Amino acid sequence: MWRKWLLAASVLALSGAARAQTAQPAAAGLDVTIYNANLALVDDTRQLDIAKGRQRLEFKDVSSAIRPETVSLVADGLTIVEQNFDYDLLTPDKMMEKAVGHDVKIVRTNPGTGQETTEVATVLAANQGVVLKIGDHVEVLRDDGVPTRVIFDKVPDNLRAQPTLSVTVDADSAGPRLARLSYLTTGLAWRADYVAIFDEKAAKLDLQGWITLTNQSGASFTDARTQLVAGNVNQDGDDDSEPNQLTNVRQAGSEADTGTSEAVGDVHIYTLPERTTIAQNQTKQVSFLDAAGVTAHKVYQFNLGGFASAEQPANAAVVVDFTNSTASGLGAGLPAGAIRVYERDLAGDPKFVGENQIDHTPQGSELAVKIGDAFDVTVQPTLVSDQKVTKTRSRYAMSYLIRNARPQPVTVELRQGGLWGRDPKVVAESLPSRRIDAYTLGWSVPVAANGQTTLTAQVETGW
Amino acid sequence: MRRVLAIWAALLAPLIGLPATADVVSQGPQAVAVTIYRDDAIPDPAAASWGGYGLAMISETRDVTLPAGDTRLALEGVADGIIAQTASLAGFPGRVLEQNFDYEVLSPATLIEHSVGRQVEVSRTNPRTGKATLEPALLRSGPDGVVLDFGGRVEALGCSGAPEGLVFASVPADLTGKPTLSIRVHVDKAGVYRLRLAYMTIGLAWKAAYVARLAPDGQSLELVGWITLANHGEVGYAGAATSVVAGRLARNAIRAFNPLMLRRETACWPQGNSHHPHGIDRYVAELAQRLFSAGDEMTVTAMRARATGAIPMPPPPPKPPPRATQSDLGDYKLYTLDEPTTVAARQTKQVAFLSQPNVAFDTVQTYRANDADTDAEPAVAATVTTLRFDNTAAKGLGRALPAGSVAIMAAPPGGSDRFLGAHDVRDVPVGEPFELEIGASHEVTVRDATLSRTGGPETSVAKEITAVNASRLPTTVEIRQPQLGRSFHIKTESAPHGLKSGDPIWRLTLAPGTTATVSYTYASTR
Repeated sequence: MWRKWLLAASVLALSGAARAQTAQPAAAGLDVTIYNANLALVDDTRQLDIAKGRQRLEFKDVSSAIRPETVSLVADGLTIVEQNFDYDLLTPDKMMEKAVGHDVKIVRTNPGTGQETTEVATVLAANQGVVLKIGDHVEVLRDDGVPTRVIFDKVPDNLRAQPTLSVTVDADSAGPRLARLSYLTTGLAWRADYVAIFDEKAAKLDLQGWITLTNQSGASFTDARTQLVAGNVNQDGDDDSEPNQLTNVRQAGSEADTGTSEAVGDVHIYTLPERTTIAQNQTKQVSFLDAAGVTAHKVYQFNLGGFASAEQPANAAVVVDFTNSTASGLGAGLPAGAIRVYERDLAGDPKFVGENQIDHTPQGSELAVKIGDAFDVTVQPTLVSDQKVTKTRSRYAMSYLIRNARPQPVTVELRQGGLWGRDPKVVAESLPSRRIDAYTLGWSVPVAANGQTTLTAQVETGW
Repeated sequence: MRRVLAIWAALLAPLIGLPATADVVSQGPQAVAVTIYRDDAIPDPAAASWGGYGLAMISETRDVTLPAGDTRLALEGVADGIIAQTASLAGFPGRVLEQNFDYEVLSPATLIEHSVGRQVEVSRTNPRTGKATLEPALLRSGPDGVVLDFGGRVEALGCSGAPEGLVFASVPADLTGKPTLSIRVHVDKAGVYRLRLAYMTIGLAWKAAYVARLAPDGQSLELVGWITLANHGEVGYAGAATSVVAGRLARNAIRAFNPLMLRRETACWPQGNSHHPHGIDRYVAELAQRLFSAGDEMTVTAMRARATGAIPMPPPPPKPPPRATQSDLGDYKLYTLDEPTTVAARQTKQVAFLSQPNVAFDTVQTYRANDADTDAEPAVAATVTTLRFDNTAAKGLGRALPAGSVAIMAAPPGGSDRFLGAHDVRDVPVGEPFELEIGASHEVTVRDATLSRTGGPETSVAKEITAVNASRLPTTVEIRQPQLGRSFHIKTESAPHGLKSGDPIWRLTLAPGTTATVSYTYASTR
């Protein structure tokens, strides 16, 4: 694994005379700030011993996903002349391409005698095949199938094993000094992963939060002070005309955040407690939240989009409702991520019962996380009739058969949408409904243990 | 140049092989429990192509000796399909500082990648003498095209046509042969701790399959339910407490990593010559195409062989069959195998979970009336043989039925089983009715005639449907008129209708060799 920035490694003078130096151990060190949307800001301060005058500083092992236009190098008495990011990687075919017009040596091995003969050849072309000029004649490389090695006398200057950032600087004096290199890169991302152990009987939830970092940037970051930004920063190409809907949030909160994060502008920043190494191709998790006994309860929910019959009974959704307020035992804003819910089986071992996503959720919000479908609670809607009442008004008669095969009574939150018409009104119903919004009716339907309830309703709407 | 190289090597040497080495290594669990979830995207969990799907929760106990203070603990032998961010460690009085999942496993590509900038040896074999020579070189780049530096002589690997290869001194210490979870923990006191590790993995799946054997009287059947579970992973679970979960869970997109993302490519210079002047690539492509079309047939044959095996024929009952017991897990059903079992790598296993010897049902021949079209000749159509069940103890059932496929067999007295058809069932809770459509009957047919149709703001359609029973048994035919248009209603009818899912139905009872007719008029607006 490459150690970060041991790089600054070779400082090559422009003259071409090679000169290399090892960078000092981190003086001020490495800071990495990671955003949710596959973006990170790398800020690296290190001791560089710089010669006077113009020279090229090479930074190998920077992230291959670097955004070169965002690179900035700052040091006392140093002026940037130009900076290049070379990602032309060293491969055999690239070498042959760069050798066109130049001499190489070819070594043929006689298959009969095993004898090696070496000749000097000029590469004329490397298209589809390699054409060589050897002495006064022209040949295609390995046209006779005889094993032939090609020897190049050097690796072309601008071909590299790894993407390399090179900065040409002008220094007004020689000597060691602190230099600060910063850039934006993709390939680093983070999100939150929540583990929720739900106790249905006690109506409590134990919630643990983990920050999960992934690094596919091509570079490793050693002993980095790591900060994580929760919030969506705008990036080029984002469409900001649509407001962001908060996933699985019933009611956004208005409490001031009392969690472990620090608010900067409109975003929250989490700082990892100690410096850490984020290796290439690594998934790293660090705990940031541990709350026990958060008030939570289970809701059976069934949503219908319009007035229609269903051939088969359909399962009600199981939704876990909780609030991230101080009063409910969870006083913290929750960064976006996956929430996995576990319940204990008869033996007391937690078992996975479903997962969902939550958005950046301000403190004091009411969350509704669907974890799955209830095996034993089903709803079968039937459109009994749709009748024309007047020229412009229709009456829909619905019947809902709600079954419960559980040994406890349940309440199903039934939502009937589709009240699109003008002036909709409930003409008759077997249980009192409430209006959820202009287009949606809601009923809380009690169903006895191992029982069933039939709800009927007639709704009139106009054109 | 040589001087630069020396500097390079000196510079890079200390940088490599500084792995995040573990202080304590746990090679495998003492005990393991496997809970497998159903993945409804998978029609057949036993088919090998579903290796990237499925979901299971693995719970392990591991006894680990930890020193006091911070320790880097490597947990080897976790599932290769591990969803690392789901891992959780419990059961010790310390705390987890951070956990890492390294998914760089040892492969030719990662071996080269981790050796870039290091000394390797290049072996070459003289074709005449067979003598192999080893020459040290600096590996300058790879794995996508390997460039070697022999101190001022730069060559490519694998482009000359001669046998040559790389020899490495050792495996870089940060490359592991198997997926490893590394966790940094802190305990105040040294000692042996029993850790409980739980995580989710892909690559395991299960599904229910049923065999229904009709009794000779045609009034009842024997229903046997099987759990088919499959492990497509490379890691097996020996003596595992095993259970499966029935029901639909909300799921996020899977974020498991394929450890073999890096592929080694040669990236040689163009290899065309005067025999293949457009480049050898095109020649190889054409060759591949020819081979592919030849190989295609072989694939089909193989597929067919596989498909025959995949038809939901009754699984051969193993004796004595392992059994599973049902309990509740939240709002799902949990089936726990009565004894610990071994879920080996790349294995399919079947376990009986249900056996109901005497399940009563009704047989109805169902027919859905056509959309009205007066120009067409009256349609003669087969009816669909439909078995109707009530999932109650009174009818010989009363058990939760997880979704799966039902193979329906007839067991004629003295004869061998006959396969009548297969039908999928949804998750059926106790107390609910359900149906199985087992196929079309050509002995019980209907003649569907549209007699008249009047237009205007309200469309009125007169239908006459005649059922014919050509079988040797009495039968019930159920005619269903789907609701068409708005304000649908029946204006006249020869017999009162019932309702099924909001549609009017008429039931006709027919003795063998008889016919019966229903006529009705429906109206609707557009």
